[in-house]
Amino acid sequence: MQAVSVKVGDRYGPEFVNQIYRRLLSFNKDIVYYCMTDDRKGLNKNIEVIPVADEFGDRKWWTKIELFKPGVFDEPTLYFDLDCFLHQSPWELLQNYNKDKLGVLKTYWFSDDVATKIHQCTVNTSVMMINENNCEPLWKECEDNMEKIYKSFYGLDPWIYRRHLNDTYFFQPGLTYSFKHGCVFPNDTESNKLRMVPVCVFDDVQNRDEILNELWQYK
Amino acid sequence: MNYGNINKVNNEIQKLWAKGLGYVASEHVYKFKDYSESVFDTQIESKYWLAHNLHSHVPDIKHISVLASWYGLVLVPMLYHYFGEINIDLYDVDEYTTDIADYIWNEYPKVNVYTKDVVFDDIDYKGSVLINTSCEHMMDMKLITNDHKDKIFVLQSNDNANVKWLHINCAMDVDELIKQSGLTDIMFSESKEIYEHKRIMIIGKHDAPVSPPERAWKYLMTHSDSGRRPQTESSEVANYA
Repeated sequence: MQAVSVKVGDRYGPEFVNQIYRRLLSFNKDIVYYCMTDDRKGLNKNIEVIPVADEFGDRKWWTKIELFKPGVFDEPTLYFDLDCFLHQSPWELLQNYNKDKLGVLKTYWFSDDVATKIHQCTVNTSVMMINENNCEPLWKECEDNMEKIYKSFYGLDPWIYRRHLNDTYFFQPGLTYSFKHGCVFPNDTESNKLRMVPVCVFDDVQNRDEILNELWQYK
Repeated sequence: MNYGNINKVNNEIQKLWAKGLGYVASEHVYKFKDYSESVFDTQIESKYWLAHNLHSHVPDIKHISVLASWYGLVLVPMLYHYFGEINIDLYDVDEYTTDIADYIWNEYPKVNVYTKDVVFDDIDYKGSVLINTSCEHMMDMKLITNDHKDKIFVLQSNDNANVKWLHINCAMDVDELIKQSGLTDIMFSESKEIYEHKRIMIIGKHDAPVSPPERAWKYLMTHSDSGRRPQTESSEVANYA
């Protein structure tokens, strides 16, 4: 089993990386966990470091495109944003694994109407599944048109939704939830609530660090 | 439509907005906030500013393409006020937006609505003028102007970088927008405060390609010691050209 996160700049300290690693180890002692980073200081020594440059100004999340480079990983690898929390083993996310496409979250916590008409996007890249070459079309477009992409999309989610929906598949519903918006529309949309669901994403949560700190205290 | 008086333009905008409102309510209720914002006073002011100045600098236009047009609710009536009922093509990437726009303009045969991605699609724009009032939403416009060197561009942007997700490539001043546009022949450039933020507009085009004789003349001028037009054999000019 393999997993990876990306840490560039000083927005997230090494503790965010180490805590994800700690949770992964609790589910699988043989986990190989990579961190793509420009600064390995403070990282658990058992984390495999992949060096990466800090090249995207104040929108550092674009560094995630480095994950799409063919050949970085040699087997299915789950990616987690550093502000995710793993309540349970995340490997169920591989149950509808498609080796030829990038696995991403769908914003199941919104109705399709709200997602497409208000947010203009149903994709969330807080969690992804990457293998040796399932991201080739995305990587190629980055190589050809990075300036155009970076200046036309705030982040990866709307870019992938608008340009690469056919190159992706969605994880099954009910395996990930948004702390702010809920799990699956319309039956489970209570805001600001923790759930016993494998992965929690904390997008747009103001007191995120405080909640994560509390969660990290649990053994 | 009669746009002889600017107040009539506002009446037209109101009528068109009311027409679309019923369609939004029945088919796209989640677009209601977006639809409402399309006729804010900031929209009226900035589109009036555009149409007025475009007409001052390019009074005779038969066909205009509007990139990232949204519903065209304010811009089309303003353009009709100044230019009459010319052909106007509206391009927007959002299929729900263009569905609503299609309904609003269904009785206007010279207004065409297209669902196209102006950033990535290869579009054969019709008309002599291209308008983009949303430059802050997308890549530098030089990536489009360089492919359409025969067109006049009317570009608006703003310095409000606080609109998360959307205002990705703002311009802080006229010089920055000119640089983003790649345009070299600027007919108009100005900025004005609209609702606490600076809105910037330029009208311009690329310099006309230099004709061979003119190129030869420029070459000879720069290679002449005196700086005056040298006496040359006509064949020398012809060879260089």
